[in-house]
Amino acid sequence: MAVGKVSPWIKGIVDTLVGASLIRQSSIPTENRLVVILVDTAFETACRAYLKYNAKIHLDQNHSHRDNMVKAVRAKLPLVDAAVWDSIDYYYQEIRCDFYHQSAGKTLTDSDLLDYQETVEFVMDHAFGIRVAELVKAEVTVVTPPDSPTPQALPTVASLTDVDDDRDKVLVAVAQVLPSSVEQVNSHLRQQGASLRLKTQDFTSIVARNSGTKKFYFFNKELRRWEPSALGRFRISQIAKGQTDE
Amino acid sequence: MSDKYTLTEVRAEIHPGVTVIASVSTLDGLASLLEDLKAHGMGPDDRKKKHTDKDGAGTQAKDASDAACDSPSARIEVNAGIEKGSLEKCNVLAFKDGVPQLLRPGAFTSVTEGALVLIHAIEMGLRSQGMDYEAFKGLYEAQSLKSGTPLSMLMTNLRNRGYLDKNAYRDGRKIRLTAKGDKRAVEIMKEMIAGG
Repeated sequence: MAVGKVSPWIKGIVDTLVGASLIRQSSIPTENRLVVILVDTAFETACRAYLKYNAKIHLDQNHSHRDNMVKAVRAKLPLVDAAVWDSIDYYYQEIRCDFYHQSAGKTLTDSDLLDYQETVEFVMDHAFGIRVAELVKAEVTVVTPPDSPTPQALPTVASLTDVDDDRDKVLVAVAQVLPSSVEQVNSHLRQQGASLRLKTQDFTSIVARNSGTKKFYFFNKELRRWEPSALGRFRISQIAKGQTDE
Repeated sequence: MSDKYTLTEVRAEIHPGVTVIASVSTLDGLASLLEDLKAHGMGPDDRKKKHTDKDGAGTQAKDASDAACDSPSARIEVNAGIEKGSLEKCNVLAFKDGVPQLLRPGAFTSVTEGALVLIHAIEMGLRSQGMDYEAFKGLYEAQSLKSGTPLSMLMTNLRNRGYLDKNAYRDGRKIRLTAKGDKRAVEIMKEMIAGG
């Protein structure tokens, strides 16, 4: 789902998380401290938006208190485990409030921060039926200059000629070129010294037959190009480690 | 010893299905371990010698057998000491296009156990140690494991139980099983096979 097509209240939440991602990529020494504050803001805004627009609850004075608001959301999302709410509460009480009101010098490790952000996004996914992380990733790609390093760059496959399997070659080429047509793939294969060439119908057959969340490719409708899916990225990480199909 | 690498662990398969896992930090320690195993007729080379055909006959059959042993599923089965082909037969795990797939994701007692078996399948089946969290997440999400907890918290559970290498996760969000994690994954697979 493209960010431009989601509800305006979700767009605002996604933008807050995009801001958090951009700060995390920056060289600000205590960037993680700022990211925690932004992620918590996104969570609280998401709770309010969910109750108002999805659960259609009239928000009154009681909901201005965070505890009451989170309790109301929690009651509406029974599929989210209690441990998830406890974790978010812990980060709010013990870390976010400390960072926001008291300790300007403290920060958080990268892995803890990513775990926290994923927990918050998990609740948002359940509440709105979306995949927040994908929306954030897509938006970060749009707002980041092309030559900027991406935070989750794909593992590098040194040379396409070292990849034995043709299906793997196509997957790696698609990940490297993000093509909109087979000509771009063939041009890249030629440039890399690989002998494989694809006809339009071969390429369409490979990417279309293998597209979807459980397959290796997906078509980015907004940017009109083929990209590797999350599973495709897993496969590329294995290829990069010298794995081949058995 | 070069300062460009650090020895942490050695795994020596002394018999099909029997792997010795030892904590080793120096090359001297590794040499001692191999000597001791050899002295007891359990060195990795001894195994090969026992299987070598004296006059060369049967080499072709051996090659065919090695090839069958070298599939990701077979590697997991041999290491776990379970009957060949049983992972697929009992609908526990299979590999397609170099990607592991849990065949009955709903049959695991908990999602954490499903994730543990999946990591073991990558490490043992695909011989891939220390994968990136994001790469694993893509694979995990393709398994249809229904969970009320995000993957990051499942990984925390696994770390707290000593099944995942805490340092590897903390340093670069790398996912790597400990010996205890490997052992537990094998137990889970055996339980599933025994349960049908």
